[in-house]
Amino acid sequence: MKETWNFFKVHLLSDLRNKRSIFWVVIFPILLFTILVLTFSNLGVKGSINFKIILINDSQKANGPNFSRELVNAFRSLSFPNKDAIFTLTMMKKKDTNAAFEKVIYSEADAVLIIPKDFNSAIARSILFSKLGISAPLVPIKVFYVPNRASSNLAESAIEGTIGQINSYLTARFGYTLKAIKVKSKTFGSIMESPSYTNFVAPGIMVIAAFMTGLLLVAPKIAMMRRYAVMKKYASTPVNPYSFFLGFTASRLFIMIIQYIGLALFSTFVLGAVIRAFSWQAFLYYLFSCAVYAAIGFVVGFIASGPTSVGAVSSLINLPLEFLAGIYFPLYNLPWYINIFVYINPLWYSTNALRQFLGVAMSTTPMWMNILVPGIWLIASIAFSSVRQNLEKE
Amino acid sequence: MKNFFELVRKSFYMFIRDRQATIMIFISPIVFMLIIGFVISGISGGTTSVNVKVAAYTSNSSNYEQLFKKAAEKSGIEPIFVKDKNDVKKLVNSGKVQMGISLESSTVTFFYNQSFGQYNNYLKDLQSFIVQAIREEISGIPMYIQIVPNSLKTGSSLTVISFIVPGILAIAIMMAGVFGMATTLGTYRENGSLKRLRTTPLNGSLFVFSIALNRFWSSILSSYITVLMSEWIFSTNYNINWPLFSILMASAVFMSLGFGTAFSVVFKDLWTILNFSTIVLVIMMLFSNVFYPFSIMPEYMKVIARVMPITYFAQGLRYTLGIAPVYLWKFTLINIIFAFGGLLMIVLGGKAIFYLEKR
Repeated sequence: MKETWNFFKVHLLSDLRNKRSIFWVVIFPILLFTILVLTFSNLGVKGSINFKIILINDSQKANGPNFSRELVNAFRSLSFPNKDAIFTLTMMKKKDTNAAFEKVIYSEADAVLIIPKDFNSAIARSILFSKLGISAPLVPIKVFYVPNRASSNLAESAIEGTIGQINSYLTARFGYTLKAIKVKSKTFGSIMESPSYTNFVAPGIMVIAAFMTGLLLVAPKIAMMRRYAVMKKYASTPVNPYSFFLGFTASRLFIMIIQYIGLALFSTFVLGAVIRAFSWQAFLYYLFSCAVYAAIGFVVGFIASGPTSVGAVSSLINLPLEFLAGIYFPLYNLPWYINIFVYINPLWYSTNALRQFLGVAMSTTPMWMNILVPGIWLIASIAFSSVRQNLEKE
Repeated sequence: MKNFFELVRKSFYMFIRDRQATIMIFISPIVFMLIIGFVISGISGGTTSVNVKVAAYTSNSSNYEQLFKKAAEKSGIEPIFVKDKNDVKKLVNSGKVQMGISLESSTVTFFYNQSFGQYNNYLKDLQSFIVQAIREEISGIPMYIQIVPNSLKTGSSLTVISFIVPGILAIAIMMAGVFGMATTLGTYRENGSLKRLRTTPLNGSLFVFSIALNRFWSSILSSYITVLMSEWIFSTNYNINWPLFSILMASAVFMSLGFGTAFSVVFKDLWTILNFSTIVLVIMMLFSNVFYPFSIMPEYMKVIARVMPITYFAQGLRYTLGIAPVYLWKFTLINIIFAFGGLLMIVLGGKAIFYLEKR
């Protein structure tokens, strides 16, 4: 027991005194969390979407109502600097049409709308015909865009989407009103009403933190000890080898627990996440995940030829594993050969389970699988490490 | 000159014997492209088009189905009609569709799957368009105006994959270049090789440049392979301008090798170099317009994106792959800055590394 405690103390203190370890254990997960929240929580939401459109009003002055001016006003109401504007509108003259097209082609604007010359008379005619019960052709407004440029494509869709509102705005003058309909919505698998991105990603960050501790604080140390035959030296002393493994592993788990508490406090009090961070189920599952990733760290440490190789391997596998865990983006419609890597990825199950235990959303995988698959990794990793350790001892 | 060629030859043999470097430069861009390409196109409904699949159930089948088809056309979604309301829930739960709608008399119910996370915000924006369109149809509001889309530029239609592959390629090439140089120079620093070389008449800039040259040709080759793989796997149908593509890749690879050299100068040990490079690349990846267009980014992100070299690399790639034109002067300027900036960092970095080893 005393030996285990000594190993625990030595390895814990050596990492707590190491600036590099502090960085990866404490600062990097917080940094990543903050970057992700800053990036994705405001992406694509009302207020941040903005398309630059150019409007060319080629319509002739009308004797009656000026529908084209109303159309322009309708677009202005949807444009910056109005609240929740989705357009930034620039008016140009008909003679500048080619210049407008060039702006769209070269990404200085997203789309050009041209109100045709006969717009006012055509609308007046349509209104008269509809009052007489005769169908009239729709008045076309041409939108010019570049289909294979994302912004331009989205701008065209946004204009099509808003034209219905604009049409309703015009027809309201003639006594047409929109019927009310009841709108309901239901989200399957939700626990909280509409989880913010912060809530959604918090469990994933906790999983990444534990995984990186396993990869960066377990594997390099094991690799280094193997290279410098430290474990062989331990084996020549009366120290029980299990004391070393228990003490060393306990020191890693202690660090992972500090990470959990730190991230839970940071996410709740700084980023405003609403998660059940201190529920006993979440904590217990987290401890289980820590054991899994520590074991994986041992495997990597036994496979790698040295600490440098561990660094190279971790750079290579980190991002793909995190993407295939659904931490940054949800995983759907993946081909079967990519799904294989998802189904065997322990990070995926850990993320799903923690999302449920932290009260964010129901797990998309059954809970028994969230324990079984990482459990298989744990057992296989322990078995592999034991065999390698025994082989190297000889 | 003879010494330089000798250095290049030695670096070449060391490079081809280094399995880690080979994996980093040739395999990781392809793996990265495959994984991120499939993940992002998966949530967007497929690799063939930008669309949203919606399962729809209507109680009054013929009328409401027509009504919903019209509403769907206006909102750019692909409806999949089902005969039972429970089928809508099943399809949404399984993730085969991104959204579900049930239209019964004057009530419309939308169904979402929580595991789509933040993507549901975009779907809820789409919900308001769909509701508007349904209300217009039910109210019998006559339509007076219609949008007639006109394409300003012909070419293959946009798919999610064709938009993001240039960005992924840019990230992958940058990663390979940065890590390639960082790993090599970091290893030399750590194992004392540079200190020993410093005692010889060897020129630091030439030495580092010889290493960079070997990573240069391999990164270029890797970029060709990655683009061709994306054409094959994702059927992207790019209209590639090979000469301009080659010029851009050459200058961008120099830039990434320059960054790798700069990081190796700033940080003494390999561990820190690799991990700092990871952080910088993650920030570049998330804050540039690699995965999403500028138009959906908040203002502060646009400002940050505009200072990221990877933003311009991705823009240049989209131009050379025939997706989005760029002014020729802008393309030329990008290449000049990348090439000279990268070469400067390599040359000065080499001098600096050797100087620092003197101490």
